[in-house]
Amino acid sequence: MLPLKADIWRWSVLIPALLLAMPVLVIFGSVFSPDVEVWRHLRQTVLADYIINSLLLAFGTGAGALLIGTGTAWLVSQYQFVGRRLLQWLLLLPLAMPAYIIAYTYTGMLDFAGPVQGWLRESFGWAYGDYWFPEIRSLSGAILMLSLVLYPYVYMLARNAFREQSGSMLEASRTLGFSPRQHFWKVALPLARPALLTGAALAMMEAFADYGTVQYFGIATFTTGIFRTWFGMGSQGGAAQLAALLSSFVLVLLVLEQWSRRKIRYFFQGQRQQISPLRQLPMPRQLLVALICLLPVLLGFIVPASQLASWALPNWLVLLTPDFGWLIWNSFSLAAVAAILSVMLALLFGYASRLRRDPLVRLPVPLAALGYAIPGTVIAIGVMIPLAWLDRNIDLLAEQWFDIRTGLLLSGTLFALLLAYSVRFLAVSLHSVEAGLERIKPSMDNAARSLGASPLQVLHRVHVPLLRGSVLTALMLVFVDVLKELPATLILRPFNFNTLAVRTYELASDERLADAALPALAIVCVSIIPVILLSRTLDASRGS
Amino acid sequence: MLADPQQRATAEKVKVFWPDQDGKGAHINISGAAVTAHAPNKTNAVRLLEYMVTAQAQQWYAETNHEYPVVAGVQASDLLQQMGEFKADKLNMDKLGELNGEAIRVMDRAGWR
Repeated sequence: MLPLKADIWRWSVLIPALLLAMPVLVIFGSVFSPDVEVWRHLRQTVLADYIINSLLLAFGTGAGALLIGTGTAWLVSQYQFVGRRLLQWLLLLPLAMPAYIIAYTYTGMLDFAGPVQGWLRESFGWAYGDYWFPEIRSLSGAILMLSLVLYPYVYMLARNAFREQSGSMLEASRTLGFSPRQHFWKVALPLARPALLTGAALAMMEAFADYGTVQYFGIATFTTGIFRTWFGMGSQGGAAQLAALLSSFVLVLLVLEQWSRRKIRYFFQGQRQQISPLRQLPMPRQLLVALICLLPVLLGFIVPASQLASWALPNWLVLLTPDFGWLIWNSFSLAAVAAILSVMLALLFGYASRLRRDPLVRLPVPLAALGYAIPGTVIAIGVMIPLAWLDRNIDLLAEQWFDIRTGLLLSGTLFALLLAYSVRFLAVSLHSVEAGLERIKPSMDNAARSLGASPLQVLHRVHVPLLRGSVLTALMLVFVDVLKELPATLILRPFNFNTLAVRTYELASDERLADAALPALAIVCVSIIPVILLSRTLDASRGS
Repeated sequence: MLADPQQRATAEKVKVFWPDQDGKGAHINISGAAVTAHAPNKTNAVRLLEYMVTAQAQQWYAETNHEYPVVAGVQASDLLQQMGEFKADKLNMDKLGELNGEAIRVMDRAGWR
């Protein structure tokens, strides 16, 4: 038997961790009580479309992100060219552009009535039907949109991987007669493979989870299918089963990603010698390389952001109504509360795992953090089903015992939304907090304890001040993730509660793209902050 | 678009079309309102709804929002009157909710998204 004190830590981790794991467990549990009739219908009609489109979208996006991310990372990490230092972090900027917003923007620019086709018709005297123009609202259009904003995942990891390959490696391959091109394909690329695959897997998870883009482009994928099955056919069971199937695809990806990451350690053992010097290029080629690196920044951020600004600015006074103030207030306060909650949970979990080697403390935490891989649509359903059940029973009991109707106490309030965000983004805050805790030597804990501080005092007086940086990073990252989050917010928000992301979605669904620009621009502007933060951390980690 | 001389020719090509005039008639959607079971302010909510179906409120709503008024005797807005008469589907709105799931299944089978 462990002493009582140990039990407090154990329960204070076990209960919230299981609560956070509940939505995912509910989804997988739904497989055991299937809605047979709806499932048969789905299998006979649209299920094959959902599977094929989701897989094509994920693999297409993975390939696109690999191509852009690896190419730019290689150029930035190996060559000296004009604007390299600036481009190095500009290449991260598309991370600040949510996929659904870039999709709305490019649709507005590239569809029939947009400026690009209008210019073509005007300059060549064409009319409707005289010419062919690629349709942006298509699967390949969606793959392009997602690749443009998700490639930074690959870029970040690939850049670090290429930088860490020692200079002696290049010298060895050159002495053995490899050209720079052969060195890239036969040495550098295979060595960086685990990092590249991790980046691609992250991009693919985002592609599986995407709702805003595919919904707007009218592509039938799992996420749109889940919405349609639940809200159209009214089948909660069918929606949950689709969600379980989608989640199992993502989990396979997660397992593959973990498996490929396993090798990173092996590859870099004892190879952290000097970093190879950047190679000089003649001037015309420098410009070419700079242009290649500028292209994804232009297409993934500068062009859509300028388009949003040019929509929003002419009539920003008209759009800046008290309603917009409410949107800002709702979004920011919700994101702030969710960020604080998520960081507090991360501190609790991180600290308890540090303090106790108890498997009952250590095992439930990764289960709770699994939510980051699960699409927001799925989490929303996993939150809604148990909370609605609880609400019904609380209401029933309260009426029987106290003659009070409690109504939708949990599922109809912000509680449901905060729970969903905690599930989805715990991994983000946990990652920062754990990284921070790892840097604090255990000897410091011991010193504080031997000077008479209780564990809580150690947390308050030693860890919190030392953790301030990681905690602030975690707060910022979760804040922006919540601000951008669309599908779970759309499903779980209480009546009459609107956020910037939902308003952008609503206006774009009504094809009021120019009106959607202001809330969209607000999201993008705030999202730039963590990108700057991130680029600083990346540079700092390379400096050490 | 009509004010823009370049787009005027295009804009003038657009005409109102009433679908299914030989069959059941054009589908009609409604702007409805109701009071929930747990509404905290029931009496005022009912009052608001009662006000919304007075002739005065219907007139204002028709002019501002260009929807067809539900109260007999209230005129539709000039814009709607210019569009002319049409044959409307008489489908009971309750059916729409009841059969929505079935309708989606039919769409799924027909491959319509």
